[in-house]
Amino acid sequence: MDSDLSPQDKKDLDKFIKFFALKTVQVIVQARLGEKICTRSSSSPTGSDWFNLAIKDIPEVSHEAKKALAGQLPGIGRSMCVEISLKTSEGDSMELETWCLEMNEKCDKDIKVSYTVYNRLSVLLKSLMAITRVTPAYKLSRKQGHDYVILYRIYFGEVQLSGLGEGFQTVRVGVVGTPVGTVTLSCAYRTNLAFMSSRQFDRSAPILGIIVDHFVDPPCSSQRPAVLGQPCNYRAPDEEDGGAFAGVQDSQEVCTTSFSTSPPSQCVCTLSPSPSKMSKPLPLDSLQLPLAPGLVAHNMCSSRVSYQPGALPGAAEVHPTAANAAQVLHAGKEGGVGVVPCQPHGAETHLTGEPPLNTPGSSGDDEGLSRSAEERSVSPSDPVEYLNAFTRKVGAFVNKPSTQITAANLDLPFAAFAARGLDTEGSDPMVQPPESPPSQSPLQASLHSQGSEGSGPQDDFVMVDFRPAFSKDDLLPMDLGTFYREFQNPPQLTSLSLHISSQSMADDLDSLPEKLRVYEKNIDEFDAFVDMLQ
Amino acid sequence: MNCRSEVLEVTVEARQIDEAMLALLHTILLHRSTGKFHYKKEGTYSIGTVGTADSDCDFIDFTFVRVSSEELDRVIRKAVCEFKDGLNNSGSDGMGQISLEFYQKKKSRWPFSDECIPWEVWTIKVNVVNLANEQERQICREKVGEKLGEKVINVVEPQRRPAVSVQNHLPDHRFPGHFCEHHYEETDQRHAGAVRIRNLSLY
Repeated sequence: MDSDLSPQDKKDLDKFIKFFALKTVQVIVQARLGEKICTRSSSSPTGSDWFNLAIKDIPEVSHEAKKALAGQLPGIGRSMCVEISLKTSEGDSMELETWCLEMNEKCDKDIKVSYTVYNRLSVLLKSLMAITRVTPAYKLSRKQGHDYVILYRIYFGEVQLSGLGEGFQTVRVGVVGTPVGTVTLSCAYRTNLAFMSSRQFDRSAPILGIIVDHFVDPPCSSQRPAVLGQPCNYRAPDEEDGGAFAGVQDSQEVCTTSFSTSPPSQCVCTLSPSPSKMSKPLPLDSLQLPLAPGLVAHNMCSSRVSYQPGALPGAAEVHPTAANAAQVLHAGKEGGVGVVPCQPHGAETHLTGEPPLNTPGSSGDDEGLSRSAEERSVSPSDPVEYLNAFTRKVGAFVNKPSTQITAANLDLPFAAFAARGLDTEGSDPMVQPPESPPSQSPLQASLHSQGSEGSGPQDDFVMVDFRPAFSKDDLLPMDLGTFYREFQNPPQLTSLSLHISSQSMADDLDSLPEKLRVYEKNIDEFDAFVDMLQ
Repeated sequence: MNCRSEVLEVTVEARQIDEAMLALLHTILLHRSTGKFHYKKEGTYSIGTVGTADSDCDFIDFTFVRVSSEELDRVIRKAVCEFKDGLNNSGSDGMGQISLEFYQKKKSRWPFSDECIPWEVWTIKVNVVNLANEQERQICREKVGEKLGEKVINVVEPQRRPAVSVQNHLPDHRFPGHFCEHHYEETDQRHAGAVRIRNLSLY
């Protein structure tokens, strides 16, 4: 087949294929730099404007491409591949896509090399430009930053697709027939990022207040592993190449490139698997992230910066005072932990310096309840000790100054017991129920009762704080709490007792025959009544 | 000669019409644009260089590549805007189509007028939907982005098939004067044959 080609055509064809391969690498890598690419049209072509397209050459990329080619050309059985991978700041890496420039044996001997093949290669490069913006890796590359970077690797030989995981998709960019074979350009891209997420969550639990940019060095350091490849990043090149890069940038006069210096505080992203199928979102359930299909979700940082409940004093393990709240804030500052917007509300209220608010009898106050129960069982006879042991709890919707802590203002169970030893200056009747003598306190009776005659099983809970919200009623001498305590254990209804119910049933059965005799005697009256109704 | 016809169908929200049309039309024109020919003495000529520019869509999660030509962009936007206005004012159920036609002008002898022979027609059918809430709009934004990606692949696919009609209109040194005049003036680019954008029926 080669004998049909003139030496000039053969030489031209080799040159076209060589520069096509180099331009292919440039287009792919530049599409993964993370910025929008813009080049100017020109009526005067230069020596580097191969295929009538303004594709700038990044020197490092050209160097890598030439090194991979090593003087060879993509041919039959010798494919040139550009592998795009992602590397996170933690060191995890994953192949995203592999672009393959291959040649098969199908020849088009009638085609003209100089113009037809050249022009078709130009069209193929345009198709490559369009397709590189369509594959899922493009969106990832636009959002690369401190959390992850995009790497590329060029290799020659057999195509390796095993690193793309299961279910990878392929898209054919285009084919161009030549007298020596058909040039094929295709892309295989990953659709499954699940293993990346599972590896992320195998790590230790996230700690509070992690600084997103706590990595001193960017993930892409000068010591790049050869296996992973080179970063698609303008910040990556060495200083020696800075001049060359500057030259590249200078030529892009209208380029609207935007170098994101403030990276998003997100980790590896999930993404829509492919544009060519309406597939469900990637397995994000393992990530526990809300994700809309197709979107690149970037909320893994919520797991990184989510707090451990125990780490925050605001979790109400104790009842910190304002001083404690300030200490927490101070500690946070010392630790260099910044306030992350995704902090729970507990932290927000904590930073205000106010003690946490508890609704009376709230179920959230489990600690308080358990404590009160514990103390109740210890010694209800010494209210003074109760007062000393208890911290202040402010009832909800209670408009009282929070700074004054006096004995009269304390809301305590068994206040009736403590009333004689406390300061009685408090005029709030809610604090000290006036009509509850200690010895007759229903609360005491209920707490220490062995069960009334008709009482059922022991109470499941004890109302410790007798200041229910909106419970004050000036009309009645009794408040809701007192009412509740008095009628907390009512006697059982007699009708519900088994003895009485069985007795009534027996009486009913005995009286049944008599009732039937009466009805039969008056049957004529009943029939007349029914006829009247009809 | 036979005219090759390609049909693309998209379903978008009203505010996405512009960007969806621009993405597809620019992608098509990118493949059909070449540098300007500069004829020199001694029967030689040179071809200019075509620049490209990435364009991000505001209402669609999509980025497309277009020819780096502001004049071309203005022409396309004007046509799309007219199409959108016609779609909104027609009172139809949000369905319409726009076509991009590549044709060849054949000069005829007097008194006959020049003959326009289309050799490739791209028809984009649009179906406009109304969404109820922001969540649906967000989902639509992503879905339309995916769909546009599929359409771009559909646009690229025919390029693999060497069309005879297209080949005749590509730069060929044997027929230096065969190319038709431009449909609109460009400084650095030209388009294979002449290009016409026609707003067809709004139904």
